[in-house]
Amino acid sequence: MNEARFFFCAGGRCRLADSVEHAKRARRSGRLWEYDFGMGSPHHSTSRPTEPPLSAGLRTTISFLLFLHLFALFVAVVSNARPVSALRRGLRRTPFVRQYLQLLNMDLGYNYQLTYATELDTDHFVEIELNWNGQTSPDADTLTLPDSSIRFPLRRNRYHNLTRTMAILMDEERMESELPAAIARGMLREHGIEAGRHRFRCRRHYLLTMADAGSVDPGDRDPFLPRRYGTAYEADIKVDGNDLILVKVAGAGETAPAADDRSTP
Amino acid sequence: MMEAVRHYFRELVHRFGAGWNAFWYTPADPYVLGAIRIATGATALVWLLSYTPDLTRFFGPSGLLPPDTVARLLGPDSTTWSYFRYFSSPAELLAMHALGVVVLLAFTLGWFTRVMAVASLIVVLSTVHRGPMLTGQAEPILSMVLFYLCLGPCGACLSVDAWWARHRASRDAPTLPVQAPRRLVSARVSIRLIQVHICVVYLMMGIAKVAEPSDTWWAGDAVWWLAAKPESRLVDLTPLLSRQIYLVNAWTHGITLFELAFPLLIWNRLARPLLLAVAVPMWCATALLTGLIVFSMMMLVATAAFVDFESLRDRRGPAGALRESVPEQAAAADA
Repeated sequence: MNEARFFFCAGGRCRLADSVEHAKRARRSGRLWEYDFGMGSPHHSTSRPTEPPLSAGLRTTISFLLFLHLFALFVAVVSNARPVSALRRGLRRTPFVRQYLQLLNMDLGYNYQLTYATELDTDHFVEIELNWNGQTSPDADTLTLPDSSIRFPLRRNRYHNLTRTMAILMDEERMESELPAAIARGMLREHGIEAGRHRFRCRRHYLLTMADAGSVDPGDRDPFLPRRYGTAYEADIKVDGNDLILVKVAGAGETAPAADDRSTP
Repeated sequence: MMEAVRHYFRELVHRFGAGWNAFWYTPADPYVLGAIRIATGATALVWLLSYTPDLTRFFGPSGLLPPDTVARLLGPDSTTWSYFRYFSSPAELLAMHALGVVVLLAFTLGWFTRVMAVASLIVVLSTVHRGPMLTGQAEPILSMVLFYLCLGPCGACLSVDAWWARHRASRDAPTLPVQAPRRLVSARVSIRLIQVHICVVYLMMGIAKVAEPSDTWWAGDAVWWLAAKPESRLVDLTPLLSRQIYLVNAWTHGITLFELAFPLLIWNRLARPLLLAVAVPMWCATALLTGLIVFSMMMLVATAAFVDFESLRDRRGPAGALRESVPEQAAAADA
């Protein structure tokens, strides 16, 4: 009965009467703050052609699919927010949910903070000092990614996403050398460098603080001062033809597991 | 007592069912989907074209992101798929990329929209999945809106398809008046999915900001840290903001408040225009501040799913009719 009434109303003429009645009721009750999920407006034209109502079977099928999709969205949101409870982790094991979410690029919690005001929020870039002999030289040939010629914001952001991912993966022991090795190999091949020892660095551009920006000293206000740059990751690279060996230099005399990358062109 | 409980649950189920039907199955004007299609298609087109100079550099055989590295980083459980996996030579990559550009252009113009919507989603997802390390906040919103546009009649208005259908109809029956596009259930489902999903996105963004451990959004200086990134920002606002701590605080808290309020208040008819009006300067300012152009644009586009185009058009109709009737009345009075 309710459904029949609903579809009659949605069909056209009754919609206007309903909205007017609804407004009268709201005025009588003094409730102006009413939610309107129907999105209908009393100003809608009543002469517009409208699709006939769906059959009950079709509605049930669509409702079932909607429920599955919204459940998958719910799982994505709750299972990607940290920390994760056992129940929330368990939800990810629902058959086909993870696959469905990954395929549609929806496997994320949408917890975009835009900034955490941490080191990871800084802009990162990659530097390869060619023919490294153990000492940094100001005259050394250096490859940089992204290079200064890339000014279009979408392109530049893409490079910063790549270098930022690399910085994030530095804490993952198993993964930390994977991306630097691939990037180093790509950069060196791009410049036709097939041999030699080089120094790979992931550099950070530290942000200007509000105090520095408000300083009376123009030097303090310069965001590009050398002291505003730091090294987040440093590694030695040895290239010999198609072989590339990358050894992370974590600190003085300290080395991390090496990524032995022997790929075929 | 038992009868009262039974009555309550019967009423609950009944009303929930009626509400669910009203929410999802009231036929809607597809005009808004047409507008969203154009904005999404144009944004996706710019996004895809921006890959062109770096295509071989990223995805080529000697590129920065070889497929095996991406596969190792994603792990063995990953179920992502990209057609770029089957093409690696620069010529093949460029050909597939050009095909993708053509597909997105056709989708934006609304040519064979149903097919092109699905093809556009495949193009965008393939590009994203080939190098997920290159993507940021924008791509999930872009693919989400594209997916929902595939489900609805996004080519029923403002499209080459619609123009061609009108042209054929007027040729076949020139005396019949041109009819406005029908209200459709599939349009409602598609619009609702965008609305619900974008509310989830806003809510999670708001919660993430108030629950974050570093407290920068609570401290009110987050906008400063966004503005202080010299490599990313589009406009350098630091000289202004460094002297206006209250402005930085207000802007930071305003963003958080807006994101938390949006999913609740957007459903209210009174608050909706206000929120939509605030969303425009907020996302434009975010784009200038952070350089996240595609993300800000897509958030605006998805937010536009709440704009009641039908109502706007119908309000314009009587007003237009009133304006048109004035000269007639004047002429009658003169007579």
